[in-house]
Order: sequence, then structure tokens, then C-alpha cells
Amino acid sequence: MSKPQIKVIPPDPIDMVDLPCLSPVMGSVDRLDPFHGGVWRSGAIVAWENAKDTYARTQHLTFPRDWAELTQDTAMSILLDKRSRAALVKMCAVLLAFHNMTVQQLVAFTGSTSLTARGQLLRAAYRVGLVDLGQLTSPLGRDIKRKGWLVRLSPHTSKSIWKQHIELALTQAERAAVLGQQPWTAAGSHDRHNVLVAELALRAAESLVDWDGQSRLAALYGERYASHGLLAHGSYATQVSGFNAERRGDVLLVRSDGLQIVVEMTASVKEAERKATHWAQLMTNAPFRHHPFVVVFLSAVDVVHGKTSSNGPLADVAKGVRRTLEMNAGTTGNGTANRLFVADWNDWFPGRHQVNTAFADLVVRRRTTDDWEPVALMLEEFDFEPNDEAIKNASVLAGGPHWLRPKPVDPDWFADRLWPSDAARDAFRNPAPERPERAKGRPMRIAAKTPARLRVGNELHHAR
Amino acid sequence: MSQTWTPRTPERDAAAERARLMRGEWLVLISKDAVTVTDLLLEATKPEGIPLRRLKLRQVLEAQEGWGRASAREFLRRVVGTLMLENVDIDSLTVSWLLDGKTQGTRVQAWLDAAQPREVTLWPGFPFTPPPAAPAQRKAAA
Repeated sequence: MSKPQIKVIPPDPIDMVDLPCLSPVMGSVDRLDPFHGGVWRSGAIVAWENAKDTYARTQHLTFPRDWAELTQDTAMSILLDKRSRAALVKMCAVLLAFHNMTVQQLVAFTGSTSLTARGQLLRAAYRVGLVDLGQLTSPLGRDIKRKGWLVRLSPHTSKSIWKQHIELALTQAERAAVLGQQPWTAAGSHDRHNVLVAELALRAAESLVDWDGQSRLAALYGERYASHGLLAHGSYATQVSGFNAERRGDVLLVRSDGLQIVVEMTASVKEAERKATHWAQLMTNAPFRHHPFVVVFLSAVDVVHGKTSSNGPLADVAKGVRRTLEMNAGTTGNGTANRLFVADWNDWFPGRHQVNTAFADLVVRRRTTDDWEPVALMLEEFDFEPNDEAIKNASVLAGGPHWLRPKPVDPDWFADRLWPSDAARDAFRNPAPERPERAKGRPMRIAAKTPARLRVGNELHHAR
Repeated sequence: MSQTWTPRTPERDAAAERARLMRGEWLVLISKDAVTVTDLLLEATKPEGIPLRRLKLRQVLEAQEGWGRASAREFLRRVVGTLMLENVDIDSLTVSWLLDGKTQGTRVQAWLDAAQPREVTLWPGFPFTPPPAAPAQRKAAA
């Protein structure tokens, strides 16, 4: 037996039931546990159903009545109804940011109960071809069948539905909440990986709570925003040959002082080494002082089905990271070892619906000269220029857990930029009276108010 | 409400004719692409542009090159949707409705938002970089 390379973080499991949970609906205890729940019996890929295919062979399928009778036109009108708008915006944004997840996770992210598997809105979104549905299976596991619905943006049809119907019905602030500054991309695959990432994001947003019940995270971004191009924007790293702006981490947690913690979920030593090399090269040219991001390699291997060496999955991933650190040490004051960490899913979540105390401070392992030492990422002091842009700008986007979305600093950001000029704004606000002889007395004083739908974050207060 | 009937006089007839002519001229200018719809709306806020307020919004939109009834209605439906109004007859909306002084420009804002290009215009490096300096109009507003 080979000697263990990595010190074990002492397990101190707490049941999630006993912990505060910030998610108002579908908290972590109510959801399926995607790691310890034994839900990936058939492999890490799920069979997906697209409405176009399904409804083409309805004569062979027996459908629940409420699904079979839904026409495409009815579905579209449900989707574009003004009561669905807030949930629709949040659903599109969350699915764009995290690709695919269980329906339960979608409900938790958006807080909208109309997005449950029995909900009208999800059914309508499926019928028009905006989303695909999948299901985790187990011959006898009724619980898994009932709770194991998966959802993703349809890679084939969602873009045209967005372009032709949905986009037109939204205001600029709402489009920005969905897209940010990037185009619509629907790439669905890596089912197990993405479901685990979404679960990690939700658990971090739900249970990293301080003494007065406030979240210790200031913001949370999905994969869409954890890209090399955005994290290293404006640094020398973007000009180095071999730089690919589209390489992405899986989820980005932002601490209240602005530290950006990228989590890269990974399963094999080869993959870890390749990814770690790219990150290390990026870090060398994007100094920590101005680009305060660190990367955690989280090993989440299914020990029953996954292939690992006898050292265990964490040791494999750590080996890849260690090799990278030996090749790319960084510079003084910008050492790569202080920015690349490893952790294991079992360190943080040792059992079904259990959380380790180590997760409360995000304890990870840092490479020292010849060993690994534990570091608490939520407590560790890092030396960088404080910067709250990542926190302020998160308010524009709807693609994270809805309770974590910060209040907009400038709700009228889009509305104020609509006026062609200063003079035009004043002219439109106070047009000349049509009958000046009748306009007597004091001029009417009404505070100029932006229409609600033009304001940033307007969908937050309309959960359905 | 009682409505007073004003007798026709040659001066009134001439004024009505001038107003009709003005509206016609502006619509032609829009169709020739010599002025934009926003120019028309701005003109209508001035005392001398008051006759333009009787124009139907749909008429103004349809005057543009490449616009038809369907696209104009679609556009107005978006404006009304943004304002969250119900049971509005979009064919009867006029420039006067859009510029109503009581609304303090909110209807115009919804109109301008509907006219925005579909691509979201934030800034490069969003969301991890600060926004670019505010344009001059914002400073005046603050």
C-alpha cells in the first residue's frame, strides 16, 4: 500500500437540517444530494428529451394529459405573459451561467415555484423548445425518479427561440440580466459535473453564513463569467501567445473584500495538470495585486465508478497541481502556490446532506515546499488592492442564487443612457403646454420616475 | 364635461390647414430619411411643434423606410408592455399621449428603450472592471 500523500482534514460532519439555510425555497435538505445520493448509477451522462423530437412521435408515446394537450402557441403565450417574465429572465440567466442542473436546483436558484417539474412555466419552456428535460433513473428509487428531473437550455433550438421571441419582449435591463456582455451560448454536456457545480454554488450561497445570519459571500458567478478573459482583463496575460479568453473555471465565489475564488471541478490527474498549467500561466502574467483571483481544484470523483489510483482521487488531482507548481512557480509577491489550491468534495461534504465544519471557512490545501497545509479561504489574509467592482456589478446579472444578488448601486443605469442628449431629456420631461392660456398657477411637480421594467434588478421583486 | 363649440372663421381654417401641412411635411421628411422619429418627437415638445402631437404614433413609425403596419404595432406593443399598461388600443396612441407632461417623460423612456439595438451595451471587462466615465448628461442629472 502506498503511503498517503495528503493529510486528511478532520471530519466533523453536521447534518444540513441543523444549519441555517438562506434559500427560501428548495433548500439543500429538500434537494437530491447529487454526490452521495447514488444518482449516477447509469453514468455521468443523462438522456435528454427535446420537445421537437418528443412531439414528433407522440403517436407512440403515452403522455400525461397536461403535457400532451399543450400547444406551441399556448406555451409561448404562457412564457411571454407578464406574470412569467421575472421567472423567465432568471431561468434563462441561471441556465446560461451554469448550463445544466436539476430542476430542484433551478427552483432554488430562481426562487420561482412555477419552475418545478410540475410547474406551468417549465412545461411551456419545454414545449416551445427553449429547454430540454432529462431524468436521473433508478429502477426502484422512487425518490430519485420524482426528484431527478434535469434541465438545460436546448443546444439546438433555444438560440432561435431567444432571438425570435423572448429577446424582443424584454427591456434592455432585462436582456443585460440574462446575457451580461456576452452572446447566447447553449452548450449542454458534462451532466454530472455541471449538476455538482450547481450544487456547490447553491450550498456555498446557502450555508456560508456569519453570526447575524448574513451571507459571507458578497456575490457568486457561474461558469459564464469565470473565464480567463474576464478575470485577467487588461493584464499582460491577454497578450501572451497561447492565451485563450474562453477557458473557464466552473464557479466564482466573491468574498466581501473582493477576493475572487474560482472553483475548478476536476476528476483526473491529466485533466487537472492541463488545467492547472493554463491557470498558472495566467496567474504569472496577471498579478494578484490587481487581479485578485485564486483557483481551487476540487476533486469530485465518484469513488465507486470513477477510475483512480490507489492513492485516492484527491491525491491524483493534487499530483497534477503539484507538478504544475514545480514548473510555474510565479514571482516573488505573486507566487502561484499561494493562488492554486486543492480540495476534495468529501472534505466539505462528507455524507448525504452533511456538511463538514471545514466548509464553513472553505478549508483547502496549499502546497508548501514538501507538503500540503490547510488554509481557510474565508479567513486567510491576502494582500491585494481592494476592489468591489465584482460585487457591485453582480447586481446587473440574474444568473446566481436570487437571495445573493446585491442591491443595484445605480438602478437607472440603462434608463439614464436612453436620452439622446441632456437637452432632449429636459424637453421630453417638460414639453410645452398645449394651451398655455389654461396652464395657470404652479407647474405640476411630479418626481421623474423610471418605468419599473427599465430598472436594473426589476425581476427580483416579482418572484412567482 | 361640457364642450364648447368654436365657430369656423377664415383664420381658424387657415391655421388648421397650416397644421395639416406641417404634419404632412414631417411625415414626408421621415420617409425621405431627412429627419428621424426622435427629431419629430423633440420638435413636438416645442410650442411651435404642437400640431405634430395630433399624429398617430403608428403613422409616424410607418412613415419610416422599411416599416409596415405589423412592425409598427409590434414596436408599440413593446412600449405598452414596458409600461405595464393593459387594454390599450395601440392604433389610437398619439404623439400627445407619448409626451404627456404628467408622465414626466416615462413613456418616452419606454419608447427609447424599445428603439435600442438588441445587443446589450455594457463595457469591456464587465463585470470585473469599473464602468467607463459617465457621459456629460449623467453629470448634469446628478
